[in-house]
Amino acid sequence: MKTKWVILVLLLSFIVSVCAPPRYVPKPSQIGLNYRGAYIIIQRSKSDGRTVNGELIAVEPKEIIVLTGNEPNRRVVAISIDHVKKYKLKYAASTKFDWAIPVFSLFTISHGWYLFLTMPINIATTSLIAGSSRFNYREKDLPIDRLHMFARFPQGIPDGVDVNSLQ
Amino acid sequence: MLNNNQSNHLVGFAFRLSNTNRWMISLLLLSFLFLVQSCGPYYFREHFRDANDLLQYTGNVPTKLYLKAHLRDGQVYILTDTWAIDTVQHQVTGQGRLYDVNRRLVNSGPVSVPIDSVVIFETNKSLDKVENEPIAGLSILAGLDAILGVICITNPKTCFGSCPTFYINEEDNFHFANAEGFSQAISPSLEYADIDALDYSSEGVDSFSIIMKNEALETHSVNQVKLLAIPRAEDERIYHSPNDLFYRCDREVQFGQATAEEGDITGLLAETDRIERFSLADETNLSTKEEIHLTFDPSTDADALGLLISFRQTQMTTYLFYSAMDYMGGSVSDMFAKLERDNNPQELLENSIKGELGGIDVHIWNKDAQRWELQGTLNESGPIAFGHQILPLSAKVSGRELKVKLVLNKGLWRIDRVALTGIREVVEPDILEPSEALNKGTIDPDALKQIRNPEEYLVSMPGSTYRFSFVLPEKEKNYELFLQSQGYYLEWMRESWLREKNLLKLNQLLNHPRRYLKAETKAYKKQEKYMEEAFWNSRIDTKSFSYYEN
Repeated sequence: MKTKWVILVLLLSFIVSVCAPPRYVPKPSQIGLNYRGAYIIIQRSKSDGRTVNGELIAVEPKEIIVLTGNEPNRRVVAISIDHVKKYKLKYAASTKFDWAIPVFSLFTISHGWYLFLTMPINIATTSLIAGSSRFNYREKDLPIDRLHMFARFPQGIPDGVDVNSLQ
Repeated sequence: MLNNNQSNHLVGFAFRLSNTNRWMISLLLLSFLFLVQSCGPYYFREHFRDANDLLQYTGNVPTKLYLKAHLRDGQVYILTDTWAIDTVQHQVTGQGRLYDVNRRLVNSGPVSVPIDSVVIFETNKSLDKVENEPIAGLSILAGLDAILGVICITNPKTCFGSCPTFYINEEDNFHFANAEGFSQAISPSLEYADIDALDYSSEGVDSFSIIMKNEALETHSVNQVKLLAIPRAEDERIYHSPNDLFYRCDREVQFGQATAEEGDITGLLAETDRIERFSLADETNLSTKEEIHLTFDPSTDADALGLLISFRQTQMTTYLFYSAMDYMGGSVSDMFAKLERDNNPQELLENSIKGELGGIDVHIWNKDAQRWELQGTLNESGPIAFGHQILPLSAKVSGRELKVKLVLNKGLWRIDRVALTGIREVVEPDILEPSEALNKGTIDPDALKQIRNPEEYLVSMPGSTYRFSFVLPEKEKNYELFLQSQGYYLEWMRESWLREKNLLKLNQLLNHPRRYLKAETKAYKKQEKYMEEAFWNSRIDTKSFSYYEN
């Protein structure tokens, strides 16, 4: 039983630690100085159904423009709004708290039999904090007609800009 | 559907759920719920296409915000909080930076941005509020965890359980344990057989099983677990006396009027309802005694009378035992080795704290001689399970008022019921060996062999759960059942105890208990009320716990 708890704690720590956003997503204190679009993950309902993730460049009337990949292999992808099943937008990188899951779980060893109550509470609370959706919006929080507010070009692709040459 | 007994348990428990530990757990849950509710979206960004709207909005915001000006050509200005709108020149001025469409820095310093070139103004409120919420949540959680940890380390018994506990119902927690085995056997040489009444009717069943748990940081060496069964008629009950005799008695019992220092306590002692009478220890001396007076009007035809008492101990003995372990510190193994080599360790125990605190002395008033006469002493160790015992009275009383006096140590005993019954005869029980042993639900032939063989011990580690089944002699008969458990246990040392070694105090505790109890009063009184509350407000599911994968 003890082994199961340890595995659960390590698994949760791993899950929350692999979901780190790219480096251009600003720290919360830098949000006012950020000049890039937010990081977006879009799940498509049609086509091959793959998810697309990257910097949100612009939201046009019929499509969403996303700059995917990493330097130097960046690529602009246009996704038809009709094909967007759901999306998640990360506008700031939260401080990492995944260390709190094992550390707070260890605290509860000193609680004796209360551990059976306090360990789940601690795991649930710290997992919620570590993997929390702070600084995230989903489609229910931010509908598509407001998504442009977090794009690099909230006004849409400016005239004369070659989207394929964007970095 | 709850039966009466279960309802009483729940009612009794509800009364007890009102303080420290409950609060701690509730606060932990609240901190979790606080975080859940605070996970909603936070909107901090505003866009303006008109500079006047921007001015109006920022005029209502107490702190000046950074401004982003998105230009028609895709470049963006980011202005620090020094920006201003020049309505005459129709431009935005301030300190800032300009980035191109690929967000490379073009220039920085004082800038003037023509408003006509701006397609969208953007402001962002601070995200500190959102960022600080989890820190606050973790701080609260850490604080509550630490407090609960301190509570448990200070009073380990409240969190780490007690010596072998027996349950008829698997779902019960230790507040409702049916028996508590050999609480005084803290070392191999102190091993003894403990008999506990199970207060259970076997009517219509041909088998019985009981669950033994190790819910403490202790190693239990269990030599025997036996069931003592005595058939009874519908109007009879069988009771067990301190000297291990069994008495067939009237089912009907008589309740008396009871008074103590605090006044009339008849209501507290009238029923076996777990609503107990107990007092706090004396402020000046832990060994101060008190009296409870009872008056009965016996109406039985029986030749002899017996006083029935359901009782258990408060946390005082637990505190004193843990204090002794504390004083031993790093010498604990030497001390226990010395105890084992002692010729008569039981005598040592009787002459120390246990002897000084005493049991519940029962006296009856001899009207002819005009004096109180001692009838005997009841003594059952452990704060968990009730001891249900009978003390036969030597006085033969019929149709007259019977006055009983209980003399007991203040703050040491919790009494649930006192009643009078008529004794019919002394009886011998059928002694039943377990027919099956389950270790966490799986048949364990080794455990069965060990528990049946007096030469062997079943070693039960923290988290262990065994179920022992017994075959009753005759299904048609209704048996009064008692549990006999024999063995000893070894308390696990806590790290904090190793630091507190004080052999002078230990010597005083063992050899001058009267002096020790007086000297320790102040320290005990500081914790007494809190210990009781902490103990009785803990309700823990221990089913899944194990230090072992056994």
